[in-house]
Order: sequence, then structure tokens, then C-alpha cells
Amino acid sequence: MKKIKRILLVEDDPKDIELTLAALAEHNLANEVVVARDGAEALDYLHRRGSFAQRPPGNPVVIMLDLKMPRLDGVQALRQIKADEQLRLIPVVVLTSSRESLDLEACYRLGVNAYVVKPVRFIEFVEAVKQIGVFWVLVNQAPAGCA
Amino acid sequence: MGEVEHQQDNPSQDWQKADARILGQILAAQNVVFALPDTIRIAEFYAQILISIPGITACRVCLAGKSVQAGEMASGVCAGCETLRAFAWEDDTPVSTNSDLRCNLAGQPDMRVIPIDSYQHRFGFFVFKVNQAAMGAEYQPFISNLSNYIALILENRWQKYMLQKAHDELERKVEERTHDLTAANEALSASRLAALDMMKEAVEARQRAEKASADLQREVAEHKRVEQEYRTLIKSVPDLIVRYDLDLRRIYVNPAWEKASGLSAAEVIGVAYTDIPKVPSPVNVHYVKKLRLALETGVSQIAEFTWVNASGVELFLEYAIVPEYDHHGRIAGLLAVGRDITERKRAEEKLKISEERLRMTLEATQIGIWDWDVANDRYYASPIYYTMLGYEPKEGPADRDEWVQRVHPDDKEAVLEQVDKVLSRTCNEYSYEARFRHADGSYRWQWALGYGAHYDKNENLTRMLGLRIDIDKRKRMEDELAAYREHLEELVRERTAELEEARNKARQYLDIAGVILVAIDTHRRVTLINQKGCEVLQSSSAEIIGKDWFETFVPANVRQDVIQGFGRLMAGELEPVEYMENPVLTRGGQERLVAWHNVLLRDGEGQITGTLSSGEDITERRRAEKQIINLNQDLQKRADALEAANKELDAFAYSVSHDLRAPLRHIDGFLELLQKKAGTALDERSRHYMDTISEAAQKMGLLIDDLLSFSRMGRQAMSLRQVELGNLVREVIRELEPDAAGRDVVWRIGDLPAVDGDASMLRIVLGNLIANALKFTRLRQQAQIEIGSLPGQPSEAVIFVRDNGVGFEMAYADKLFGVFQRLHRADEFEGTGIGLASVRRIIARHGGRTWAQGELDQGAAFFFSLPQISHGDGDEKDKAHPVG
Repeated sequence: MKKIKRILLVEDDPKDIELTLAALAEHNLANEVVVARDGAEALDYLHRRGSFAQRPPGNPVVIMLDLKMPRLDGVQALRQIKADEQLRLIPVVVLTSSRESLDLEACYRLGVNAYVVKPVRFIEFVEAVKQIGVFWVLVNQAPAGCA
Repeated sequence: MGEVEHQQDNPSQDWQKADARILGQILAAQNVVFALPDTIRIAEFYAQILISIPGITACRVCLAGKSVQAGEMASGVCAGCETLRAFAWEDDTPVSTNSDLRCNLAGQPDMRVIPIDSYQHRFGFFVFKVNQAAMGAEYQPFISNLSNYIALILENRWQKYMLQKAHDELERKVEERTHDLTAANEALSASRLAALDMMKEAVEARQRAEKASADLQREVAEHKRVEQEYRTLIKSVPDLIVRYDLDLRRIYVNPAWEKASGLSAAEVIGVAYTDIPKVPSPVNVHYVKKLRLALETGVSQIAEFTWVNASGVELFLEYAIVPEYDHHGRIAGLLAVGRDITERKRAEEKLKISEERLRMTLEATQIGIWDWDVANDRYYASPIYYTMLGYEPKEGPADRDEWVQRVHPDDKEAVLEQVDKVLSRTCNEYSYEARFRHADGSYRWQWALGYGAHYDKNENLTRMLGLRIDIDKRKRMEDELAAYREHLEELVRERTAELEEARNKARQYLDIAGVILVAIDTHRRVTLINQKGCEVLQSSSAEIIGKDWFETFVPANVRQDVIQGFGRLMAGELEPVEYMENPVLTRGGQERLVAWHNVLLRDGEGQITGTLSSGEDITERRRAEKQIINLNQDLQKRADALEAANKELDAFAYSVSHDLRAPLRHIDGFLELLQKKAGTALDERSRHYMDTISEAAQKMGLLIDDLLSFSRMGRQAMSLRQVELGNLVREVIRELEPDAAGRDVVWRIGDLPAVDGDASMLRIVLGNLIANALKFTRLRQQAQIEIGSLPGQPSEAVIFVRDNGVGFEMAYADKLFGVFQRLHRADEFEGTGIGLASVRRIIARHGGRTWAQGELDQGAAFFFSLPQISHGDGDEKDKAHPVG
């Protein structure tokens, strides 16, 4: 059986979730996506707790992380992920509207693997999401423990 | 002055920390020099002070050939100091007027030698060694200042000493001369009186003698006559009568003889003259000789002799011896008639002694006497009278007219008046001092005395006597003394003036010192205050000196504490606090805050005599400091507010960038999805609507991006460096080439300067302006774009970008630079209205100005200025370098 490679999409805006899933769907990647609505939920998922306590084990092959979110925001979530021995090897791609250099610098300092600004044009957005999905899910060899 | 603050000095190793405070303390402390007794103490004091200055590793203070050293330095005796030692004066202050004296240590690296010079003298040197060569120059002015100060004080001391010395010398001389003069005067007046007495006595004696002599002669003559006539009566006469035979045997003696000789006639008649046993010396040889002579010659003889009679009484006898003839006319014997002249002889003897004494006195005292027989106008003068004026005795003047002529013309009137007084009997005697002409033509001072000696029965003056004394030497001595006294007084005046000048200089120094200097004695009274002190206290020094400092000038609220502290200081219970801040009370009742430096003053025995303090009025400084603190606090508040605002703005910008863009993305995304899903089912118009929605979203995205970058421009930190505008312009044009493709564009690039600015920001400025020029000339067949700089003030560079595009109406010129302000419709020229606003904001942040000139359809020119920071010649050259 083909091993399912999961993508963790951390995004609070339902419209963005829909558009991202649409973009991923164009490349048949949508059914492997798990959505967390903020950083706290993402960490619950990664640590298999709360509403995700029952999920099967294994880390996602890539985390697509929005920055501006309620509760635990993207930068805080990233800090916790990269500080956790179990999670720090998971590739994290920040997918955000912010072009602010402060955000950019903060993320790279915390060890983000890629930083992508969401293009306004949907065509470009689809292209960007596709490239992320294809690269991290299909091309990139994920570290051990990522499924 | 209570204890307010006590700062400990920590002599730092680092000379650069030697701040004005240490130097200021030294400056304040050096007033102690006033109280130091001698040069070696002064030298020690300064050696200690200099070595305490950070960075000075060793120093030597040479004063009067005395040398005090602190710290290690090259040893050896200096030639300059040796010479100074040779000049050393009275073991106290050295004096050398030779300012060429050098210190051997001068010229060595790390060594500084500063001579201690007053305006007249070189007193010595300051030599100090520093641990870094540069510090020497740093300290030189300060130490020169110290040296000037010492020199002034030593000069002052020296002047005082010289003055004292001159005083003493003068005193001594004046006393000596006065003593001489007094002695001379006393001797003179004593001898004058003695001379006068003797002279009177002599004159009287002479008169008596003359009278006695005249009487005698008369009596002898009378006696002879009587004898002749009354031979028989001879027995009864008082004269001594003896008759001798040819063998000189007495043949007769009269009773008078018997009485005088103490012998009876029986004892002597017929006895040889040599043989009278009762008489020790029977007869006088001289008398016998005369007797024999009379016998031999027959001529009468007079014999005077002394004879001791039988009673042992010495008689002075005068005998007249006449031969007696017999009737043959032959000499038969001798008749001797004698007289006891003992009385007369004694008077004569006395006169002789008296005259001799007078003569000797006159000679010894050089008194000339004169005797004027007024009645006969005969004039007698003693030898000295002549020799005093350089003549041989009796050679010179002998009458009244002559001496009158010799009186000095200026004295003549006074002299004659004096003489006339006696002549006219107004008084009996006169005296005067006058000058008489000497034989050599010069004039000599003489003192003259004269008196009326004799008057006739009609009370007319018949005789005058007088004397003259040469007082020329005394007069001259008096004149000399007076001149000398005048000279001395002049000298004293000069010295006093010099001292005053030196005092004034010291005073001036105190006065120009920019700090208050005040000395207070143990009774809390002010003994010294300088001009600055008077200014601060708003009182004159006369109003301050002698006042109780604390009661008068210390505010009541701190007075008790300060007085208590001062009392303990004077009692030696408290070490002086070197630095303190205390308020003073001015006359106007204001309080001024003063920073004090204090030192104790001691006398030669080390007893505390008061304090010397230098104070700086720091009221204004404190106020300024307070203001600065307030301003700083204010500024800090504003900065905090600004910081908060900036943070808010950051948050806002973040929200904008994130949240504003998201809906656009959604519009576009779902529009795209809609198109995919229903695209083919929609008619043309619906598709147009959808395109329009998509374009609007795009435009909104651009606006948001521009707005964000504009906002960033205001906040972004600038990094200023020199920017070659020419290079920047060429880069921008190269980047815009794609936009100009296919168009006819003529670029004119003039000389552009190098400016100070943020390169990336200036690039945005030029990019916006040039892109605008390119954009608004789009409709021209040939676009002409000129970039250059205006010749202007050296303080700023003015750059312009000029085009021949569509231009604008000047009425709207200012609107151009506003955010989102556009003068053209979007379908004419695309744009967000942010570009020029960014230009203005960037230029403003550089401290420059922006403005525009244009006319509708006639092109436009945009200007900006940048302040030029002067870079010196090298940069001027760069600026002039051609760029295009």
C-alpha cells in the first residue's frame, strides 16, 4: 500500500484554507492535507493530544504555516516546533501575506526551511502552492519519522 | 561651612582623567603660598602638588638654587641652578635678572621645564616628567600659570624685603647723621658760651691791669718828687726805702721796709747784703745785678723780683734804684725805693693765663674775634678772624666797610639790620648766620655774635666786641643732610610705589581669577575678598572686610551647622573638607549656590589662623543642569511616545500588509475558481465584469504595497555615506531601459556632485523622478530628459530632473508631493500617487527640500536639494568630477 504523505496546513482563514486546498487539489495533493486552525491546534496535532489524541502516529512531511493567527501565532508555533527534539526536523514552510522583513528575519532565525509570500494573483498563488507541495512532498526526501 | 559633600581623590593612572577638577583644586590650594614662610617650603609645596597630577611621574621645583624633587628623574646638578645658587640672596629669595639661565633638563624627551619668571627676575624652574610626551604640552599652560603666580609672590616678597632693607639703611644713616649734628651743635654752643665768658673775663682783666699799671707809674713819679722835696719825711712813707753804701751794705731802711721784710733795722744795717741769717734767700740775684749796674753806670734802674721775707711770705717787689752822689758829685751810694707789687703781679699773671686760655680756645674752636672802637673807627681782629677767610693775619680786611662788602649780597640786608640794632641801642647784642666771601672767591657760612661793650656818658656806643665762627661745614652738612633726607624720602616713595604696584598686581590677579577668593580668620571675620566675591555678594569689599562671614553671608537655615563646623575646624578637631557646596546670601537677599575649595591657613608656628577658600558660583550651572535634566526627561517622554507611536504604526503596517492583502487574494482566487467553473457559460459582458473585478484587486494590491514601502521609508534607519549621484543616475537609467524601448529618448546628464546620503533611498528618489519623466513624455515623438545640478550655495547641492512631457499647472504644484495625489487620470498615465510623496519624504529626511516647476503641456522640472557636509579639498575635487 502506498504510504500516505501528510501535509499539515496551519491556517485560520477559511477562505485561505479553501484556496490552498483548491490549489493543492489541482495537483492531487489535497487529500493528504491536515488542517489546524491555529498554532495551538497544530501543536496538539503534532504531539497527538487534545482532539488529535487518537490520530495515527507519524509526523507530516511538511508544515505549511501561516503567521497571523489567533491564540498561538505562526512565529510562536515555529519556535516551539524547532525547540522540540521530536519535531525540529520536520520541514516548515511559512506561507504568509506578510512581506515584513521583521517576520522574515524572525522565521529564518528560528530555522524555517522556506518563506513564501502569498501572491495576490490566484494563478501565481496556485503555482506557488503547487511548487511547495511538489517539492516538499514529492521531491524532497523527508527525515525519518515523517509520514 | 558645614559638611555637605566629601569627595575623595583617586589619583588615576590615566592622565586623560586629569580633569579640570584636580587642576582647579590645585589652583585653589596654591593660595597657601601666601602663608609659606620661605622658598624651600614653597618648593616642597609645589613638588607635592605637581606629583599629584595624574600622568606626572616626577617633578622637581628649583627655587633660589634650592631644589625639591618628587618621584624619580635624572639626577645631576644643573648649571642653571648652580648659577641661581650663586645669585641666591640673603638665603631667602633668589634673584637673577639673567633670563638666559637654562635648566639642563630642558629638551629631554618627556621632560618639561618651565621657568619661574617675574617681569624682572628669574627665580627658578618647574621641571616635570610625564609618562606620555603629549601630556607635557597639555599641562604646560597650567603649570606656566602656577609659575607666574609664584613668581609674582616671590617678586612681591623681594620688593618688600628690598624696601625694608632700604628703610633700615635710611633709618640708620639718618640717626647717625642726626647724632653727629647734635654732637657738633652741642660742642659748638658750649664752646661759644665758654669763649664768650673767657673773652669778657679777659677784657675785664686787661682793663684792671691797665688801670693798675697806670696808677703805679703815676705814684712812682709822685713819690720821686715827694722824696726830693721831703727827704726827711721818708720814714713815714709806705714805700720801702733802703740806702746802700758802695759795698752794698744797707745803711738805712725805713720802717715800711722793716715791716715788709719782717727784719729790724738793727739786724740789717751795716751787714753785707748776703748775710742776713733769718732769710733763706737773702737777696735776689736780679736785684743785685741792677744795684751793681746802677753803681757802675750811675743810671737809675727799675728791678722787679720776688723775695721771700723773714716770715716766709713771697713778695713781688718793684724797686726804683737811683744813685746817690756826694758833694763831689761822685756816686756815694744807692737809694732804692721799693713797693710791694704782689697784688698787681698776681692780676697780671691771671690775665696772662686768661689770655692764653682764650687764645687757645679761639684757636681750637676756630673762633675769630673782633674789637671795634666805634668812636675812632678802629678795628681789631684776631688772627683766626683772618685765616678763617683765607687771609694771613692782619693782611686782610681791617675796617668796617671791608667786612660789609664781604657779606653775601643775599644776606647783607639782614646782617646790617642786626648790627644797626646794637648801634641804635635797640638791643645790646645780636647774632646772625651769613655767608662771607673767602679769599678764593667762594662764600663760607659764618655765625657772628656782637655786642655793645662800652658806652660813653651820653650813652653813645663807643666800643663793640664780637666773634665769628665758621659754620660752613655744619651748614653744608645740614644742606647735605636735608638733600639726603629728601633723597631718602624720594627713595621711600619710589619703593612704596613699587610695592603698591606689586600689591596691585597681586590684587589684580586675585580679581581676575574667575572664582571667589575669601579668607576668614579664627574670629570668623573676613580678611580678604576679591572682586569676583564682591560681585557675587553684591557688596563692596569695604562692606565685606571685617564682617562676620557667617552672620552676614550664610543663609539662616544652614548658619548654625556651618558655624559649628567652622568652630571645630579652627579648634583643629576637624580636617578641612576640600570641596563642598554651600549657599551664600547676597545683599539683595538672594541665595547663590557656591562650590568651595578650602585650605587652612597657619602661621609660622603652625597655629591655625583661618581659612582660605575659593568658590565658584554654580547657581546658574545648577539651574542649567536642572533644566537639562528636565529637558531630557521631556525628551525621553517624547521619545517614548514616539516609540509607542512607531510600534503602533508597525503593528498597523503589519495588519495592513497581512490583512488588507488577504481579501484581495481571496477576491482574485475565487474569481479565478468561478471563471474555471462557469467561464464558458458566461457571456461577454459578464466576463468583462469579472476582468474588471480582477484588475481592481490588482490595483488595490499595488496601492497597498506602495503605501507600505512609503511608510517604511519614514521609519527605516538611514545609513549616511558619500554617494556619487552620477553613478546612481546611470544605474537607474539602465534599469528603466526596458520602459524606454522603442521610444526616441534623448538623455542629457550634467555634472552631478557627490553628496552625503543613504544610497538606497536616493536611488528611490532618482528612480521615481526619472521614471516619471519617462512616463510623462510618452506622448512626445522625441522625449528629452535632462538631469543635472544647479550651481548654488556651497552649503547645499540642488539636483533637477527636467522633461519635455505633458507638464502640469503650477497651481497644483504643491499637490504633486502629497500621498495619492495625482494630476492625471489613471487611464492617461498609470500610477498610485505615492512616488513623489516618497521623494519628498526621503529628501526631507536628508534635511533637504523638494519643489517643482512646470506648465501644462510644456514639460516639468523637479528639484531637490541636499545639504552639503564639508569634506575639505579632496572631496571638493570629487564633487567637481564630471559624471555624464
